[in-house]
Amino acid sequence: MTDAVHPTAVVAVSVASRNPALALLRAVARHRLASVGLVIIAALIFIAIFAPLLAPYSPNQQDLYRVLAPPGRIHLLGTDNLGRDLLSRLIYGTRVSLFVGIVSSLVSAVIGVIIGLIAGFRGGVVDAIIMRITDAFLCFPPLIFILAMSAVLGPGLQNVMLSFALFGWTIFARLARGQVLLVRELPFIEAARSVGVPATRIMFRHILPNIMAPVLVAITITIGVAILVESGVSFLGLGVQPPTASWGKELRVGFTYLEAAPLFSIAPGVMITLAVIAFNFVGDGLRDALDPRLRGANRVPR
Amino acid sequence: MPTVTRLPAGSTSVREPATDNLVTLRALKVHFPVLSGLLRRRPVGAVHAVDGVDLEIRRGETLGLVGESGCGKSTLGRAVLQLIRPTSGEVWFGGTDLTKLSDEEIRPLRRRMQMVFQDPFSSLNPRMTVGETVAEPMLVHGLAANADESRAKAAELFGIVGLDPGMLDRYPHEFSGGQRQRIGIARSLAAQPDFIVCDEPVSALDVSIQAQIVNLFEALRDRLGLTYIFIAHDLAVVRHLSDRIAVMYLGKIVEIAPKQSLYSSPLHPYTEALLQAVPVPDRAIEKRRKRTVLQGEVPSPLNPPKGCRLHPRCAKAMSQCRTVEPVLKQQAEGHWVACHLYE
Amino acid sequence: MAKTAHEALLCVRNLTVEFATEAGIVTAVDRVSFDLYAGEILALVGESGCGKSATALALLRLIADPPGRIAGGEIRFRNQELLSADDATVRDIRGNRIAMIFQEPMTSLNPVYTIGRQLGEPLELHKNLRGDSLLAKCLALLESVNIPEPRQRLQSYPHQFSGGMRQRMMIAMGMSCDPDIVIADEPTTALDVTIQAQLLELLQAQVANRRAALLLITHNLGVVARYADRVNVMYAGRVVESTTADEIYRAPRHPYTIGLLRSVPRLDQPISEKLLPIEGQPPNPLDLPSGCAFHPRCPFAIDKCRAEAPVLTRDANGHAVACWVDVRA
Repeated sequence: MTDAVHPTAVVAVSVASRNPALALLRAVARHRLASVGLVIIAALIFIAIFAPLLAPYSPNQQDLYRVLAPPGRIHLLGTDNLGRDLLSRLIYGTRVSLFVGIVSSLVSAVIGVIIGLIAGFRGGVVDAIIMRITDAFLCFPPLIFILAMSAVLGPGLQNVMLSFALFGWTIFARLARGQVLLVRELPFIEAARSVGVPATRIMFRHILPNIMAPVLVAITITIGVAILVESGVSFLGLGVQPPTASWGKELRVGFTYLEAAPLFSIAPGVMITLAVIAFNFVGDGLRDALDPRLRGANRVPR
Repeated sequence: MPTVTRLPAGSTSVREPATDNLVTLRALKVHFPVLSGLLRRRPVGAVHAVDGVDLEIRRGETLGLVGESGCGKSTLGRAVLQLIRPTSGEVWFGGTDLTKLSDEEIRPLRRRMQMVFQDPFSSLNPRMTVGETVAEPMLVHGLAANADESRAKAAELFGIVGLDPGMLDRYPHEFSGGQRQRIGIARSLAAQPDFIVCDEPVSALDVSIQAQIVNLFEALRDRLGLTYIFIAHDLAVVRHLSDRIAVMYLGKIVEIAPKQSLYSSPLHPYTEALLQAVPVPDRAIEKRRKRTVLQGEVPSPLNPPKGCRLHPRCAKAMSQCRTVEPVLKQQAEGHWVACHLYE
Repeated sequence: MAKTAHEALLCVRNLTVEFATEAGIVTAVDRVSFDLYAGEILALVGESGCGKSATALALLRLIADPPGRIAGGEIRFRNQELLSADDATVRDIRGNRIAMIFQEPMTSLNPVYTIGRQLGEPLELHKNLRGDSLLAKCLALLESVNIPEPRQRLQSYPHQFSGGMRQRMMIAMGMSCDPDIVIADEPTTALDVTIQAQLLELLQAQVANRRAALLLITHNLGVVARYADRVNVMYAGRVVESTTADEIYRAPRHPYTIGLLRSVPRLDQPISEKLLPIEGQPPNPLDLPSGCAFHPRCPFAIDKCRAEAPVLTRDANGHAVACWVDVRA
């Protein structure tokens, strides 16, 4: 060894988990509301995956002798207007709603973040153009836009997700761009440039991981929004097509029979509410866990 | 010591500088426009961060660059590496004028010229392991055949800078300030550069760690034959490492000399003031020392004073100093000053 | 150097400050004791993590609780015990009898209030000045810290000034009620060398004029040599050496002090001489070494150092050290 000082021992790691991702998960779980949210989401995912095992009946099995039955031993939540077991339809509906919510949100995020990354990093004319396009999209009231898109594209689940993503990307693009503007000025980005790292690699390897925090929060909250939007679109008849069940669809159909079988629309409404709240809680927990100002440990004066 | 050949104003010589100079700066200026207006942003002025610098740095030399905030030393360091593009002037690196190249053309050259940054806490990507950070220059410049090889070389670099190679998979926040600075140094060495700009690399560190890092810089320079520009505001630190030292004030070099002469016989009033302002950790000496404090604030680089930029604060200012700007003139072997007192 | 002629202005005994962090309790200040006498400049020297700033904040009960907590000790200011005093008493002392100047001039002034308003606040609160007399006093204060055009300055906002100017205003604010004690926590660390020199000269003059005591917290050994009368060296929350400034430079006795003095690059040392760093890293406050916190880095360490933490012991000349080894031997 040269004159350089001999190897020094590392400062004892105070945080038990070294990986930032795991540490984040722990931090979120500590947040009371968020852990409730996580439990609910886990339950919903479980229900979605094991639907065939959990549902007492096939969701499409009609029993025209027991139409709009009240809750009872045979049908725990009653039946719908075609005699199909409501509980089973809701359980299978979980699959649809969760799928739509998560996929819509993720697709919006991927498109939006990439666009926002490019806009924020390149700056100048590229940024201006992209931002004006984003602004143009944002001029439309969201739900109307999505409905119009759905009407144009036609009914069906895929088109709901597509319509959502066609609008939802704008939120992520704005968010990502704002974050990029901040991170871009940080010394380690300049360091990467000085090393000779090409621009694309800087964008995806250096900037992107460092803007994920607020993006993650936005994704969780957007899932909740997407579920609501799907519910709305299906409610209006443009989303899920018969005989597939989704919460929004059931809510719509059930609305017609509100007096006769209130549970028909209340039950799906409760599911929607539960899911959206759960995702919002988790989003809150993520936001708090990621906020450096709330970490008391960092404010120890020396 | 090669003398600085002053080119006549306005000449656009493409003659390459003498070949034992690794880096040559000619009439380097970096001005940041200040924009104003609501709809159309018009330049209403400029921050003259670097305002005409000529410098030659020999291969293997360590040039210390000192000055206070606003003097332009950090900007100068970045302008040399083209991290900030100069407004005008030339930057010759190993036979090429970097100012004439595009960003893409410069990228491969970056292998040979690196930077060590001031803040060990924010100059490392918090989401990359330190091993990845150190290996990246090798991957980017094709110096390692695969991930394993770059990792092995990263481990070697860790050893060279005095860190445990077993910690390659840790994240920056798990290290202390001094260790992070070592990681930054390892990163700068990864591409096997000839030239490193060190931008106040020890200012953010604890006193007892500064000495370790300064020694490390010295050991690396001797072992690897590096050329440094060492930027600092601490004159004592610079004195230790440098061969020559340039003092900057408001975008210009006011004095440049080999270290022996700068500290034993400073010529420029600003250099004298700087030296007197630095207290020495020795009671007996401090009691005896003269303390003439430089009055006034550092003027804004937006609107530097006319004539000699120091004249509003200089106790020895003459009428000439208010109107005529002094130029660097050689007063002794390798010792240049820009001051009317010596004309 | 025993000042039996005066009573100490400030007596700190066994001050202990703890912080609760995610990973455990950090004892930032560990049974620190010292005295401060009128008219002197006492320097608290140490690097980051040694507890000097926490000590200063504790003196004015400014430790944020949670996550911090003054876990023990006694602070007597002119025979008034501060840790057990009620809030009103402490507020009366803060800014009035004991003033504090913070490190960051950028953030310690409120950006939305004018300088005049902030400068006047302690005067209004503690001295009940109003109207013309308040204005006159503010102008006088700004002049005393060499701020040109004070009348205009009073109407301006902090962001319109440089760091050096702001720090001068902080000094003016600190001095406004003629305090008995001024605590300056690294007042010039964020500033340029020439501005630092101006400010320290100013601070020294102001304090001398009022015969106040100055508790100067710094990591800069040169500043200590130039200005301090007495010095307390801190490491890992404890005072490890305490003596006069003359003595600490002439004959330091704690290995940390010695190491520190040897490792600092100096303008006057022979150019070819190598820097002698202190080996190792500063201690992790969550995982302090057993016994003496400095032992892993200490070239003089013996077995006892690992086992038992040394106590600060004062010799006949008033030079106190916390070390099992006598380096003079």
